[in-house]
Amino acid sequence: MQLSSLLLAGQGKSLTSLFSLLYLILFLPACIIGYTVIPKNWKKYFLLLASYGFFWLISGELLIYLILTTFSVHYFGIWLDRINGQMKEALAALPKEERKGAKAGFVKKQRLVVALAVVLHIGLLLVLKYSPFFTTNVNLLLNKMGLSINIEIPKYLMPIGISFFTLQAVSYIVDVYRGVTKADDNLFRLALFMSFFPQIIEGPICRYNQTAEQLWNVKPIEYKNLTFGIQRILYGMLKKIVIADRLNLFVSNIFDKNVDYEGGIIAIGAICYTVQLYMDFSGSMDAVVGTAEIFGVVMPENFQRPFFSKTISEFWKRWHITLGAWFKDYIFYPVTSAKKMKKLTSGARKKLGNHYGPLIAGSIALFCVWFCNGLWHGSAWSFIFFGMYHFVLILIGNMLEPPVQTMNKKLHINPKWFVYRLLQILRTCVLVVIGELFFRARGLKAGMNLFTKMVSDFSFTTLNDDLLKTLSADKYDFIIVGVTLLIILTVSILNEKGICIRGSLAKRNIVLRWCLLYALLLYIIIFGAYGLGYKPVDPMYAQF
Amino acid sequence: MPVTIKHAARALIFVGGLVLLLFLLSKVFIPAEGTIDDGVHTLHSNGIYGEADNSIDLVFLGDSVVYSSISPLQIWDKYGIPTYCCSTSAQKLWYSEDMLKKAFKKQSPKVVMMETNSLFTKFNFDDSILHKAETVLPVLQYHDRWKVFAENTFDGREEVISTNEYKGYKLSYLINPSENLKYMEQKLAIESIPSRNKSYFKQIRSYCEDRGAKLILFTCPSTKNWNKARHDAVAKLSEELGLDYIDLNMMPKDLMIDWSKDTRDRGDHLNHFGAIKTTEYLGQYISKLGIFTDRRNEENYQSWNTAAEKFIKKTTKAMKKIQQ
Amino acid sequence: MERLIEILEDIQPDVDYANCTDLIDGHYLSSLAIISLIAELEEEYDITIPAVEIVPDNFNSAERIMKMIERLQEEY
Repeated sequence: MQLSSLLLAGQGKSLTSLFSLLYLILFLPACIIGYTVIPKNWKKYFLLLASYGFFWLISGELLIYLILTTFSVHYFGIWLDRINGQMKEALAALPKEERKGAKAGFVKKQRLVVALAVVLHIGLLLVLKYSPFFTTNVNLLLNKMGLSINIEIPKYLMPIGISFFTLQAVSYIVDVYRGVTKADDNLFRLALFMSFFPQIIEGPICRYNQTAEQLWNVKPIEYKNLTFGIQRILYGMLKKIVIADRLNLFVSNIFDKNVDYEGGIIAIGAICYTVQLYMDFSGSMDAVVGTAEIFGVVMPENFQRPFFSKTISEFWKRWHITLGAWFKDYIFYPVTSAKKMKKLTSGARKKLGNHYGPLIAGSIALFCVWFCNGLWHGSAWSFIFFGMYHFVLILIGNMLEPPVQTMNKKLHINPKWFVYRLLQILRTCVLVVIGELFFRARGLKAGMNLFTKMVSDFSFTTLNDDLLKTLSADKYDFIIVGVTLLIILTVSILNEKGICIRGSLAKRNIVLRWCLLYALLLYIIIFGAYGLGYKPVDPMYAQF
Repeated sequence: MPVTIKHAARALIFVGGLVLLLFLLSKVFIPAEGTIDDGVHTLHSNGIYGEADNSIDLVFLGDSVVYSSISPLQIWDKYGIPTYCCSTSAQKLWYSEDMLKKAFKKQSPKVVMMETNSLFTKFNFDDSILHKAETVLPVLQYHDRWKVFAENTFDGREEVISTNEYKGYKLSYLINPSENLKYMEQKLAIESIPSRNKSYFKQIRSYCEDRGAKLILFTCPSTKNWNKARHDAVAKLSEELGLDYIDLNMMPKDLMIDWSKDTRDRGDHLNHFGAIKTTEYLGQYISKLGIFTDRRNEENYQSWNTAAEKFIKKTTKAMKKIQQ
Repeated sequence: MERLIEILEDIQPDVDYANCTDLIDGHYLSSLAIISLIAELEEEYDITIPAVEIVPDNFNSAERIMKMIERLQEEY
């Protein structure tokens, strides 16, 4: 067998995730070596080239969307900057009293430019991602009204990662407008910020201020960064290949087949899906952050042990952090800072007090955030429901906060009491799992059916080896998932306490280090769910 | 600390150590040849291991359409040619190559008939590199056997694969008609065979050539998997390579597949009714090749006679019941 | 400064505003408190606090908040 035939195009996607062998044993090592041997001034261009190569391997010609987006935000940024310059010049020439009025005109112009950019980019995303959903519903509505008009349902090829890089593009434009960052006059620097290869599939969603400079001023690879990065990637593999992929068949058998399982089994399925999603997404993030770390780039973290959260609101500050932060900065605060909202807040505060006063404006903003959040995850009613579900949970949490506090005081319950906190964590986990049940179900109707069944028929009478077999699982699958989760729980608890495992490991002698690394590698190789009998699973968040 | 040559050397040693460990682990994980575990993913096709040495004259290679369309016992019953279906569901070409090598280990078939659907089944770099690595470090293929060790039944004497009672054929009486009757009408331009697939296919061809086996291409009837564009691509390929090719989708008059009752899943696969027709057609075709002799009276093949008798009896009875 | 601390105490009592330097990062001020605070500050100091100013850095201590207010007052 000639080695050359390995690289021949097999048509379709040749690269699907940061855990594919093509990436791990060919692409990444080639990048590391190429990056090391290339002269310092060219390293950044090498990274840009590698990033475009990576995107090409994933999406082929759809790379054009990324390039067009980059060009567009680059020139929009420069446009905004130019207006800003004109404004400064004009204002300097005016006496102080007249400045305020003159400024308003320029700001208005800038706002128009920002609006145009946002409409363009979000619009593109909407068209590509949501027009099938939209037309389907319009057709349904027309039919309900008795009109037999059927608009053809369009189907577009969507580049992987567009939901992520569009948000980066918008945040850049808004940041330039707000003066948080200067418009980038270097097209290549902006292009690298938009396309850096590890993060292009599933984020994290970075701000220009977080990564652009770091990426542009890249340094030679440091030994420590290299080893830490590789360790982080391996940790991600453990999550993804041993746990997430092993649960995949089981979960899809429960959710995708029209079989009527009893409630207990559905509950197990929902829990397994939640675990699968977390391990898949956070494992991928480990690979992203680890890869960036190799090149000395610090990426924002997307997860902070979300299942230790005591409330739903806290959960969303620890799960997919960069998306939450994006919504907070570009939707939540802008909505609450609108003039009318501020009036509403100060008025309501006088009547309703410190807690419920701002809650009205806050809740309206929160509604916008969660509507967008649901929709961002996919174009289906079940996703909108998912957003609303969390909105309502957070709203209820906010409403109940004062009465719960008074109750605790009356009953002499200390909210810092271990058992109390544990119960809070458990409650949050249950609520999250129910949310994920709807998230995973094939449509809102299916989700409702599963949920009703889960609650009304909660038993485990049919749970036995034979049933597991029909669900493509056996007790050993669950044992190994359990053991691996325990390992990850231990690491998480240590992290939560602020202990850096990699750091303390680096101080140990080489024999111990190698033994541990070998153990981890062999663990992944033996207990990983890959090869015959398993289906490779694409990164789950890439489809959002 | 920047990365130095020393670090690179150390990394190489580390990787070497890993390979060595995997090599040693392979000794533990590789199952004894011919055991259930050896073919655990595809018991029916691995039944060829249980056949007597050098007893199979022809193997059918391909994906699920093969074991749904061809019944070796029916060919035996009529022509006395011992054949076997080495087909597995969604078989990709690298697996076909594996399967072929397995078949040739104890057998020396004179003809290999390869179904063409798998020529179009895409696979990527990961599939082929993993496969390459598996041949060197079998632990990568058999890693899942930790479950067997955990089961505690592993005592060194694993159960040996028995022969498959239908010689790799999978029997189904289900009927789910197909309405896509015009599937062979020209719609698309010629479909190209992925280059990675082509390269694997050429390897399979030279493997057969080296062992003196004649390679014939054929396509089973399927309204879902086949079309004119694919037919044209394979016809072109076979012409280029000088191979015989018969497409059973192109001869509806001789074959008389009735898509309203000969398929089990709306034209994807045939059921037993369709398989009888296809098998009859192919049986005739291979018997006319003039390569094979009728072995029905040979002493070593008496078990085939019994198996065929049992099979025919059982299926005739079942079909009668359905038709009533 | 005293007036600011009064406002803060009115919104969220029981915090040592004179010395605390991690009002946001230490979770002393919730996002609801921030919403109230902004509305109050705008009224009190006759300024407009745009969304871009709502970052932890501007709200982590009474001193930082005051600095932001002064800066916004000076802007034309």
